[in-house]
Amino acid sequence: MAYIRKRNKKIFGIFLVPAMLVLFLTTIYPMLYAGYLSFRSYDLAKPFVPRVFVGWSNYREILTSSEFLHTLIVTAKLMAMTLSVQLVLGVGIALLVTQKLPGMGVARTLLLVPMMISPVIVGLVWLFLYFPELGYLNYFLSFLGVGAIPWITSTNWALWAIAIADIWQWTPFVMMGTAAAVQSLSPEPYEAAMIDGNSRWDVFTRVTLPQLKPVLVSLMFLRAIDAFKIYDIIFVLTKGGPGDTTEVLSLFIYRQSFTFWRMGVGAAASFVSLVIIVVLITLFFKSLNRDDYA
Amino acid sequence: MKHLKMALMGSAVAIGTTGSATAGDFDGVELKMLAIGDTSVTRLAPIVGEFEELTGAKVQIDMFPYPGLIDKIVIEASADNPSYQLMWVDSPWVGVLGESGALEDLTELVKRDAEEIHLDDIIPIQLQENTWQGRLLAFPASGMIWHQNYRKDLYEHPEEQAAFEAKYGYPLTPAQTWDQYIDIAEFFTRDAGEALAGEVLDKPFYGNAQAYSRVAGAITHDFFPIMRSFGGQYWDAETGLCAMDGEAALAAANVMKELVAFNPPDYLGLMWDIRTGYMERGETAQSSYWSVRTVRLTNPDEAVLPTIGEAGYAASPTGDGNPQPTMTGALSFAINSKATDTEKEAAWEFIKWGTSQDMMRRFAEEGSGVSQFHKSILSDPELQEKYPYYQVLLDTQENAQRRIFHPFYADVEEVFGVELNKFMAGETESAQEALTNACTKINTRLKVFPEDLRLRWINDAQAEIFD
Amino acid sequence: MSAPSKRQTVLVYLLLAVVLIVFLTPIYLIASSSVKPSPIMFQKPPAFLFTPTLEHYESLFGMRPFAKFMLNSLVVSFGSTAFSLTFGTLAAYAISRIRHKRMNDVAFWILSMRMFPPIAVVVPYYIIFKTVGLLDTPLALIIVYSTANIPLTVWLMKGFFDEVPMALEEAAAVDGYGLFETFWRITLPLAAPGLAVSAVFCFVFSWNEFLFALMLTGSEAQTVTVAVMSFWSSDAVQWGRIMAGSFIILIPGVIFVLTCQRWLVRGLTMGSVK
Repeated sequence: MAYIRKRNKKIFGIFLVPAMLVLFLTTIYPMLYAGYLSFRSYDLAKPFVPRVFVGWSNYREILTSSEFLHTLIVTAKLMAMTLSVQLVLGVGIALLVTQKLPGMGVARTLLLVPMMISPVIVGLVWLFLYFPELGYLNYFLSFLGVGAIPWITSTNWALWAIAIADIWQWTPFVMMGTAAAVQSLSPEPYEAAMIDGNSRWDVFTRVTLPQLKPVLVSLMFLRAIDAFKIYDIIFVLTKGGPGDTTEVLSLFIYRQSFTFWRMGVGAAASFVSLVIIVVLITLFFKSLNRDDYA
Repeated sequence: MKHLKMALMGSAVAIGTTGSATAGDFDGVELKMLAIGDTSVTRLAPIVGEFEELTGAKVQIDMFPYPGLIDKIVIEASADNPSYQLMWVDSPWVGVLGESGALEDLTELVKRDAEEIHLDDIIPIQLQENTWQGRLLAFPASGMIWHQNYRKDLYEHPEEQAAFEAKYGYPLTPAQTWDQYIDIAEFFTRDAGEALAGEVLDKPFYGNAQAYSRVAGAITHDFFPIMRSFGGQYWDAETGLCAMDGEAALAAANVMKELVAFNPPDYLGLMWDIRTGYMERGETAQSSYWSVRTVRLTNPDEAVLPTIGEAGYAASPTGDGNPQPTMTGALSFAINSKATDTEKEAAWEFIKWGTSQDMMRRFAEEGSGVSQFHKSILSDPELQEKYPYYQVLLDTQENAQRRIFHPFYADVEEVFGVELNKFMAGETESAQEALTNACTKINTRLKVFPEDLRLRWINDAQAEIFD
Repeated sequence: MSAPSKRQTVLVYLLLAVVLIVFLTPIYLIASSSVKPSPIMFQKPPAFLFTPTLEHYESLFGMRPFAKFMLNSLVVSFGSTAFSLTFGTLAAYAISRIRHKRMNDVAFWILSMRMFPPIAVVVPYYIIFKTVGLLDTPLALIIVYSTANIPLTVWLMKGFFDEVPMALEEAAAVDGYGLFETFWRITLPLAAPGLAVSAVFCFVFSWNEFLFALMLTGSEAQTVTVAVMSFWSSDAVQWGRIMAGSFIILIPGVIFVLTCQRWLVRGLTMGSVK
């Protein structure tokens, strides 16, 4: 025990402290500054707008704003749509490309390409696909007998259009993380399970999945955090339209912070959104790791 | 400010009576320009070496994307020692940048160098477009108007002419009123399989192509010119509050809504250039947009239309057919007010060089003339043959009004973008509701300020260049 | 896993073909649009057969110092990846190994660095970098990106370290391996696939980021993402050039992944030898 404690101290000092210090030093000023702004009226573009302390009024405005609530709902919907599909597709494809067959390495690399395109450019590329009349997608679908779908121009479809572009870009993320984990799994449990005569599905759910869980949880955390901040693709595809059907949280923050230059409101909205995501992730985390460090 | 004027006057004396620089005047001066990648800049970027040879000043042009550019300019302008001495400015930004003191006042420089820059030859509204409180804060590099483009070859086709007159009771000519515009749009909207000018169509043909997308504010860029052409005002002259929910605005919103039926079905996704694409490929009978893009209709390398038909150009239609002010715009160059005095002189020298009559003529001859603002160039018969729309540019600007220039322009574009888009998408019942919502949001922000300040912001004082 | 049977093999390849078609069609679109003449860039129906043109590639390099921007992106991406992997891996190891209640909070605090909306910190970062003279340098972007990449690395690597049995390390300790030696020679090689994955993700994030790259750089440190987007100008979105640029900037990423792929396999074999 004493060995472990001494070892822990050493690990803490050498391994952990540098990273914490780096993160602390590089983020402390921006965070403090944003915190300071969130209690002020501050317009960078229009110095004639009074720059004064306003107490909690920025926070009050956000928490009572129906627009903000709307963006939260849209963001939540979009997260649910993208994360669930990315998880299932990502794991499925990972199992596919980790088969011991020739050509899988090439396939894995090719499948990562979508991730290597900047989200703003992904938005532009998907415009090519989505235009109801000029786009490729409806052209391809017409061969399958599907009529023209107003992808980004209908209030019913636009959120799906954005979700699909995001799924296309980030499924490779889940796939790659999972594939790496699958490849580092130790083979013994499989051999045992196969000898016991379990079906492949049973092996997957009882042996593979539990072993993958830590990595999948990490991957999903990371995806959830990024999905919560999604902005670039929408900025290019619809900018929140048609109407306000694709208005996500980050667009709201962008509009307040830059376009309207109400930087105080933007900063307050950022902190509110930080609290929301922290609470959500904590709840998720707690429900998953209940037995871990008991 | 006073100090600067003195300094400038001093340097004017030092340089000489005409104020023009000679070789080596600015040896060692380095200028950086915060710019965009459009024609007004890309045609200059490769030849800045010529300017260096002429003056000794080295100019570097950095190009950034249009979305986010104004945000970058604002952040840049807030810094004390600037990284950029020169800035590319879209004319609606003049208000916000002007009121915050980000841009150098060019009025005295223009007056000083009036002869050199052929001030008399510049269309006055293009200068007015760049003023704030009567002071010139930016200099036009590209002058635009919002006008209509149409399929001249179809309008002149005898069968189509006869059919149109039979149906609507008046001859087919470029629309002068929006009602005519809608008639023409309806008339020319055809499905695949129907005939157009005697030929069977293999794909649909549209009567009109306007932009309705929220991306990059596209919908407002069509809405405001239409509103102006109905005689609409942005602001209430008494209170300085939003007036864009009046009759003209209502009429404009309803015109746009009516045009939806004759627009390509992806209207809600159409932003500027996807919309102009329909005109450039010859797939629509008419489309109105900014003249910076019109040049393509004359160039077979950039558009299909010149090979399959012919484009015609006319002023924007109006509400009752009587001439209403056309909307102008300008893509301009400005000087960062925080640059040093030498840098400012060199920067002004660069602006003069890059926008001079000779240079603009050279661009026109090379094919990158795009949208001009010198009367002599627009009326040049040879150039007019090459760019048939020059005559429209020249004619319409006599009775033109500038674009919105309010410090809260970004708010207006964003808020009206949302509300109009909701109306077009069917989320809002009526145009009135949409416009009232938008105005209420704008007014909430404006009412914080005293009335005299609000009235100052909407005051389009005459440019103090000519006195 | 046992080798699949013949029928399974066919099925695997069939499914893979579908997946590849779905995921690579947009890439094909980028490639084909990058050589498509402007007038027919958009039309109905889309043009598949046309005389390809290299004009977009020519103007891409003719109108911007694109090679320089590419180098900037490489410096920023490699810099941030190296920086983040170093600090992130060490921290992840500590979090994985120290069995203490507080460790969860530390891990969470690190992760929360990635949760704050970037928009709100653009201006503060601008002010700092302006003050210390780092504006428009690759270092500024390396620092900002690392604040997002370190948390990512920590979280991914923690998952992989958790899978390495403590027994192995205890055995190493008995053999006289020091703390760092154990980490370097035993644990890290076993978690190498995680390292490869983290490297790819850090690289990709840095390569693709747009907002900070736009606001914090000028001509000196401009990255390719901003350079490509700068063909979105006031009169046109210059699709051909954007697509040409997008296609070119895929190449370094693919090369990087291919390199890591080999590393990934090496980690695998080392793991199974143990």
